[in-house]
Amino acid sequence: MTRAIRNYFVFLRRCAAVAFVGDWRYYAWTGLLSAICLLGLNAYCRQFAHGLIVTGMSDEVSWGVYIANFTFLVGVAAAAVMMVIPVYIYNNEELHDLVIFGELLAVAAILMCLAFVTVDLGRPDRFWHLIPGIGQFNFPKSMLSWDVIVLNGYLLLNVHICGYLLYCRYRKTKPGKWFYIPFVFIAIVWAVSIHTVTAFLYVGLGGRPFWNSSIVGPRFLASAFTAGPALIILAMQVVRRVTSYSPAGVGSGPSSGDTTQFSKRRAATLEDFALLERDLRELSSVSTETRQLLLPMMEVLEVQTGDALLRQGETSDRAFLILHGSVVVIKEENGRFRVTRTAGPGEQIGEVSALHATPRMATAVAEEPSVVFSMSTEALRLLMKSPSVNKIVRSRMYERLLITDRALMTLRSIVQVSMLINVFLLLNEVFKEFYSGNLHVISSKYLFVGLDGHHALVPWIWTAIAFNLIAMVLLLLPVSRSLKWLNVTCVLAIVGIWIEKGMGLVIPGFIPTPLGEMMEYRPSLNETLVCFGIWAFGLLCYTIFLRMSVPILQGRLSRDNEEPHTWPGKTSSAVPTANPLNSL
Amino acid sequence: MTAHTKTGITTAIVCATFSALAFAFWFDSGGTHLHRPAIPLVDTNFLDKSTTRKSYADLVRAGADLSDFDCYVCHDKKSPPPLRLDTNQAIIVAAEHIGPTTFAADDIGTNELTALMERLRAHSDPVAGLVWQRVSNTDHLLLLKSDLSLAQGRDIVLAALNKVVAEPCIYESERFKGIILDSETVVHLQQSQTGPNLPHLNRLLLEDAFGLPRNRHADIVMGHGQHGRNNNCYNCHNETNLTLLQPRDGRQLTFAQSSQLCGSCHGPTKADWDAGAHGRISGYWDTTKGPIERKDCVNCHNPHHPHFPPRRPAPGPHPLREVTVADASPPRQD
Amino acid sequence: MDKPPSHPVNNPAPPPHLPSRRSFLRTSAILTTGLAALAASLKPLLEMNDFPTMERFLQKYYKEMTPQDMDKVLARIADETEKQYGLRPHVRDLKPMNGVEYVYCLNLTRCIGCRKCVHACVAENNQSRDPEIQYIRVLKLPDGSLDVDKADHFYASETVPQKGFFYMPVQCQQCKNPPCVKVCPVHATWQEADGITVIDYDWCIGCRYCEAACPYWARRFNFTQPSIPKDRLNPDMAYLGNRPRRQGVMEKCHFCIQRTRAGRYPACLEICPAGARKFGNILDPNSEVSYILRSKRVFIQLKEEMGTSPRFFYYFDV
Repeated sequence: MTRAIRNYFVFLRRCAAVAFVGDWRYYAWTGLLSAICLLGLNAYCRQFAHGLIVTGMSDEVSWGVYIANFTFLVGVAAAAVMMVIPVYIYNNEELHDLVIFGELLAVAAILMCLAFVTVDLGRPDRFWHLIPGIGQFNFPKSMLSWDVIVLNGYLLLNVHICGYLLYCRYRKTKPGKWFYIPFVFIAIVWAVSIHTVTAFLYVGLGGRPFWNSSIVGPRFLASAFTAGPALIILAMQVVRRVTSYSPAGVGSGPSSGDTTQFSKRRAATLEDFALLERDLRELSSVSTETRQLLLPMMEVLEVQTGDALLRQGETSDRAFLILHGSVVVIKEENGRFRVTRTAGPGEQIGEVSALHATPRMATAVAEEPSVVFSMSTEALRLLMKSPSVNKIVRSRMYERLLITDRALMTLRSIVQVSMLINVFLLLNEVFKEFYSGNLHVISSKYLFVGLDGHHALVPWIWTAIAFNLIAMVLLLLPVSRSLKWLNVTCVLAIVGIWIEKGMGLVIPGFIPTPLGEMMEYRPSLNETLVCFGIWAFGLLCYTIFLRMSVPILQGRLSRDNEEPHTWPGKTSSAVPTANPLNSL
Repeated sequence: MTAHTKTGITTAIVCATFSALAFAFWFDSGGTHLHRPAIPLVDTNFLDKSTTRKSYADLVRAGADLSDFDCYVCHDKKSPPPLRLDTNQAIIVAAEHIGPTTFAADDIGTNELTALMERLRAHSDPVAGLVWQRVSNTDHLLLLKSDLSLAQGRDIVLAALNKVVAEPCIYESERFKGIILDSETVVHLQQSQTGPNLPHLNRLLLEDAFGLPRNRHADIVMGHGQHGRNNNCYNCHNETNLTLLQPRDGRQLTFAQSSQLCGSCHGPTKADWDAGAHGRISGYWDTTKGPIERKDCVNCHNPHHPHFPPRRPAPGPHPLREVTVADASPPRQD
Repeated sequence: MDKPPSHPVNNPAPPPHLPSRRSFLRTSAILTTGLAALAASLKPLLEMNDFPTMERFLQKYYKEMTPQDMDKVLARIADETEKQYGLRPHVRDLKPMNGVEYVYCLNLTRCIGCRKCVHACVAENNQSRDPEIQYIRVLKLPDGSLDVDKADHFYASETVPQKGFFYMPVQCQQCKNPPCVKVCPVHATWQEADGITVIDYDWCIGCRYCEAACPYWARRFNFTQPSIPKDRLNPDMAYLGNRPRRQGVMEKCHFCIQRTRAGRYPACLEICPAGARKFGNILDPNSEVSYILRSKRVFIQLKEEMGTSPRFFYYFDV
């Protein structure tokens, strides 16, 4: 028992240590975020000392950007679980690692939500009044009490799932099904509930006709499932870019290496190239000089039936092109084996690990005696300098559902459908508000066209609508399959939804007041700094989570490279040789 | 540039940023950096709970001087005062019941006199300024002397005040801004800016401006009922016994019972008043804990001119954030 | 091929149990400056003059206090008020009377819009003057409409009442079905047996959900430390009523609980020059309010369709 606890502490300590290690980009990014956090903290201290008068809020408009950001981020957190559904419900295993990144995003988003709610409180020192048993918890009547439960519950769920999976990966043990699968399914349902409960915070207020409408709940979900996956699309590309930075050169890092010894290996020759070219036409674009350059970096292996070229979970960065024969690729999941494909002459194996420095995702075994080209990452990259080779290698990589681009397209379809629903619901709302001409529409009037000379929100909402419509159109067009346009679309969708959920939902509910007073709202500088501080805090958390989890998922931070045990205080955070963790 | 150098430079920049922040935070002047104009405290006049008028019953309870209510000092018990009507069949109120227009020596008490003289010396408020202008130049110098006797001061003041009284109407909203006008003054202001009662109006205005005591028995302006329907004195007063009031049903009521008189015509309102639904109440709703105090009709309504006079409202709310000009516009009429 | 900089040949490996000197220096430099900035960023907290004491932090919920607890708390409140205002107040915890349920009636035919009730309330209930908190808001409405969106809150005419308008003061309606009580996450506000919806100022966490929920805009929040002029403090106080509040908590009209539970009329009623306000025990058939609701042909509740069932009735003289 104590052993297990000690192991866990070592794991935690190493995770914490790795958060302080990185390259200059890492320091620059985390330094910047920390500086913004500090600005936000200072602004919050001013608010804590002097009260909420330092914000732009008033009795007339008593909730502002804090609650607006909170509402938006609950949606992001809920949508992060969208990653989970394809994996566990549709058995899309390649997305497994991404689930962790999605759930870590949910954790960061929930932390931001909790922070926004705390800074909005007039007396945060009285937080203990909320704790059931010690305080007075108004459950189930108050929707805020539901929100407290669901948000904290969701946080715990995600922390548990991620933490457990990462720890198992670290310990190189198989995760026990009952420790996480049920929680995952609970998390899926819970994600819908956190956002519905947050919607009910507003819907349940009969005194505010702008909010007291049944469309608010569905709109929340639709906009959350648009903005959330859009954020994940952007975040995953950043993760991919950052984790594909491979350690400099060959041979750095402990190489547990290819454990197989091949029966025969010899140097590559130009004839081999010519042979390969028959099955891989695109090689014709590679000049002889390049081939000459490549030869020293390549070898030719002759393998027998049953030899493994590479094994699932290993760290290695060699790529293979099959000259002759047939290699079967087998993936092991939960104790069951599944053949994902068979590769013949001209086809590639192992290029993903080579290009993305990830552990092997499957095992490749020769089905019959075969001859393969084996090359280093550098060689592969040199080869891929030729555009046609690059295209064929990548397209073959992607069409095998590899990673993220396929996942990104899945997410894109989610964003597409949700955005359509979102816009449809918006049209419903606009019709209902403006067609009948009854007097409850006054807040909508203020929002969309202004009222009595007050029109501060009008440009905002129309910008949001324009962004949403453009994003919707782009999503329907095939042009958004290209990552560049997809990114533009995502940014438009996120900004549009942030505006419409924040300024477009929270603020107009207060204008005019239930007694007809018109008072507009503008966030103060202090308030804005606190918001930036919390956003920076969330991004910082997410950055650190990634910084800890990526090496674990890649196998570079595991119990295999723990120090021989000394007292935890003395063990270094660096591995004896050059620090492989320096690369992120 | 090698990775190490880049890291080194980045570290240096990060440390520099943190240090700069530390300095900025430490030497920040503090405070909320908010600038709001100070909200003035409300004038204590608006916190005054007293009724506009005092009823006869109040005066009796307070043990006040009731000599003004002894009608037979001037009138003869044997002959009822005649009613005089003008060409429009409106009652001409005897000049004696309107009150003297000019100020006399015993109209101003010592305390009021001292305060008045102080204000004249300073002449910073508009009404005092006006009166100051009517003081002759030689008297200016006299007033400013610190060893001036009270009698001399009184003479100077009276002369100036009576000069003002004789002028055209001295009322201007700017001049009288901030001064609460008595309901009698307001009624006269509506009716007497031209005509024979103008000097009386000026006197009332001066009395209000300087807080001088009011002669309650006088200042009768008739206006009971629309089109002067009820302007006959003897509809309410008993001509054979001026100390009594007479409703139409023949009851004889004292001045302290005046509410019964009002109720003899204003039935529904009287029923409400009896139940407490009309009129002012103060004290204890739970009469087992203390007394309830019901105000009479004449505490709020002038019996000769009962219409509730309009008054200046207390200042409006000062919202926390800036209210733009658009809010001061008239309410929507759509 | 270049040897990569991190190749063992370039950097002889440091002893296994020590981090490299460079990374150690780097980390400590960043940590030190970072912690310094962190500590300095907390400086505005020094300006706080109302830091909660341990006693206040641990104070119990009103409904869970024993009479001894309450006595201690009342004494502490009296001490704190004396220290701040130089005047020792008389703070009590008044309980609801038996057989009493309050109702407020306001005669719209009589209200002239003078706003004296607003200021009497401010004076009686020790509300902050700057920033200004006023429980009562008088609306100037055009004849013919009860649509509050047509109301003028800031009228400053020379005289009132003005022709063509009527005036409607609005304050907490002490609803029978209060939305504010429903939404408070910590039960800081609740309705007492005599119908008054009260707030435990020392329990409120300042989330302002109740302020969003109220259909009558009756609740006010202390955005900063309230400021009451020392010479205008009303020392006759009640725990659930007009004792001085702190920054960050809600407050609202409580029917002058320190007066009404002692059997007196609320301050707004007593000062109204037109006698437009009526208050009393609806369970007593002889009270003014019972008479009004029995005999007046027309009386209404504001925003009745919200289902709040307010205890505030506006009536007319017919």
